[in-house]
Amino acid sequence: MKNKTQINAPIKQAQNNLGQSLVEFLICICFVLGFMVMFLRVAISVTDGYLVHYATFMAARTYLVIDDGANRLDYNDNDPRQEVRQVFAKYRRYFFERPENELEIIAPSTFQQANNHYFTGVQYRFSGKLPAPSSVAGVRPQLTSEAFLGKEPTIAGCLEGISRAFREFCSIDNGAGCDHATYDDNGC
Amino acid sequence: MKARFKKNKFKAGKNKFGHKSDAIAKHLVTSRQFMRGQSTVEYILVLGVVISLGIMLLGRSSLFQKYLANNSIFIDGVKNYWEYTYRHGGDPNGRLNSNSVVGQKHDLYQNQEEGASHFFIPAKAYP
Repeated sequence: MKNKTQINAPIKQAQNNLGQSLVEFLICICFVLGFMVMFLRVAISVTDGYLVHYATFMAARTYLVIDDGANRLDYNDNDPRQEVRQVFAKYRRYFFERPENELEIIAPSTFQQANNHYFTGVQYRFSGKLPAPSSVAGVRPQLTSEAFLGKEPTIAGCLEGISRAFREFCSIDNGAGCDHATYDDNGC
Repeated sequence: MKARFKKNKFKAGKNKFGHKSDAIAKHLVTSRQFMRGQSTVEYILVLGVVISLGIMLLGRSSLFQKYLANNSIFIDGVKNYWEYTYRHGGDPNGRLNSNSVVGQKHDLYQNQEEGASHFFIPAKAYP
């Protein structure tokens, strides 16, 4: 025969456990939300990196072909910088705004030796973010995005190149080379 | 709530199990059998919270500073790996020192083992 205390024991036990699940829920929801925020930060960082690569590539395309038709050989060094930066600025992220003036434009004249000319293009350096806890959040990887597509000769450059080729041919055998000369197509 | 508990859930139990308290006890035992995995999951989640709190509280210890803090072995390794893969688009294979600037060695444009470029380039400089 069970007494009253024995009969009510399971009911009281169930009543005492009522708050436990609430506390466990609160602890676990913080952990789960923390995980979600961490993965969100990873996703944003990766997307940001891809977009910067794309913006750099588009800026390099602009630098490759830009030409205002001016009769100046030094056009490929100075004048297109503003246009290239404007193209880069179109693709930057607006909620993680990046200064486009840090975009470095590398002209062919940067190099003293011709065997380094394949580095002609644009380069952009910026600070990334590690999706880490606050204790290590100060770590900022220095990321580099670059696109070395080269530089097409400008109209003035083509004119100069063709004129030089004619002069060189015509100087052979007292001008005999001018009669029968074949020129390779260099894209001009 | 108490009245509904009695009325709905254990009205039939009174006849089936003989006594009302026996029905409640059996219900609690059956419920616990269904909740076997719950404590494991809760343990793992709470362990994660405890570890996170531990990292926050022990963040200034020398062991943490050596392996997990800013400029530590692990974090520097991750940082260098990230910088290399973002720039070169491939696994560094131990070449984390390719912190090259333009005009110097660049893993994407130069075959460092052969000491030559991957590309052909004009012999003469651009006018």
